[in-house]
Amino acid sequence: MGMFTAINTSASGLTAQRLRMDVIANNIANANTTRTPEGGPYRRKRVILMPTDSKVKYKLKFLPRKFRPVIGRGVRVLRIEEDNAPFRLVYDPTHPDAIKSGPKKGYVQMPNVNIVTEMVDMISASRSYEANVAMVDHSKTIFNAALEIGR
Amino acid sequence: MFLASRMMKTDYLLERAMDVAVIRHQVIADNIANADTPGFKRSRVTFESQLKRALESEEEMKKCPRAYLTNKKHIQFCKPLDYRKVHPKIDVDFDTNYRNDKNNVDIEKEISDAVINTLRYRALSRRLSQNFKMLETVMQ
Repeated sequence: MGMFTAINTSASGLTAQRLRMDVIANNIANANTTRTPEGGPYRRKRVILMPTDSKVKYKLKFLPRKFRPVIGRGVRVLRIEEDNAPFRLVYDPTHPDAIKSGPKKGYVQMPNVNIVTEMVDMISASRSYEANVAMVDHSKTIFNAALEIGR
Repeated sequence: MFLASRMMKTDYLLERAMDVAVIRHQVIADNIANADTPGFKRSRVTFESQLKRALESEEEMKKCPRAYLTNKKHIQFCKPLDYRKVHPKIDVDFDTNYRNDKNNVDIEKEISDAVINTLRYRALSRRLSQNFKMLETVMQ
């Protein structure tokens, strides 16, 4: 247990929230992208978060010391996942990416990005970021108080 | 001899309380970092109530009648809890859900706990500092 564990823990939260923000920005920027290198319209991305210590936590009251809960070490990003929700269909026969034949002729497949969802996620990420910044501030106050001992 | 004096006991208790404040701070930082992790359960630290019980048990020892021991297998009526052996305990709160993703971190509570914890740490460190100043005055 180092001296700056709390700051490192908060820093992991800051990194994760910033990555969430980057991914949301990318989703919003690509809200109307109909062509990607993989083919088809852009798929919404999302971040999967996970606690850094992936040890199983037991509910039992009296545990041997080895299995007792320890202080967590923050959060980490497991992976960035694609959302498999169906694409939006917009009728626009003059669009170059419109479906040429079949029952959906004339429709364009638009990305499955919902701007409202992205905005809500963005606010959530930015508030979480602020909470982590507040924790870093408190850690600083604590260390400064410790430095004042004996003055 | 030195440790048994009242002043050193105060210093020891202040030091332990500050250690626990740091641990609690780390736990709160972890809870806040995982505020958006699905399925995460918050942890909390319990120490003060156990310490209070240990200190009160010392007071109660004075009221307790002494047993007359004639064999080394006999025991006293009351046995005080040693406050030096009280350790902070980290518990995981499994039983509640605050959101649909089974996460139970309440960000307002965590932040206000952090504020309380910081103030407590500052009070303890100031107290410890003044204790050292008093010791210095005595030595001069």
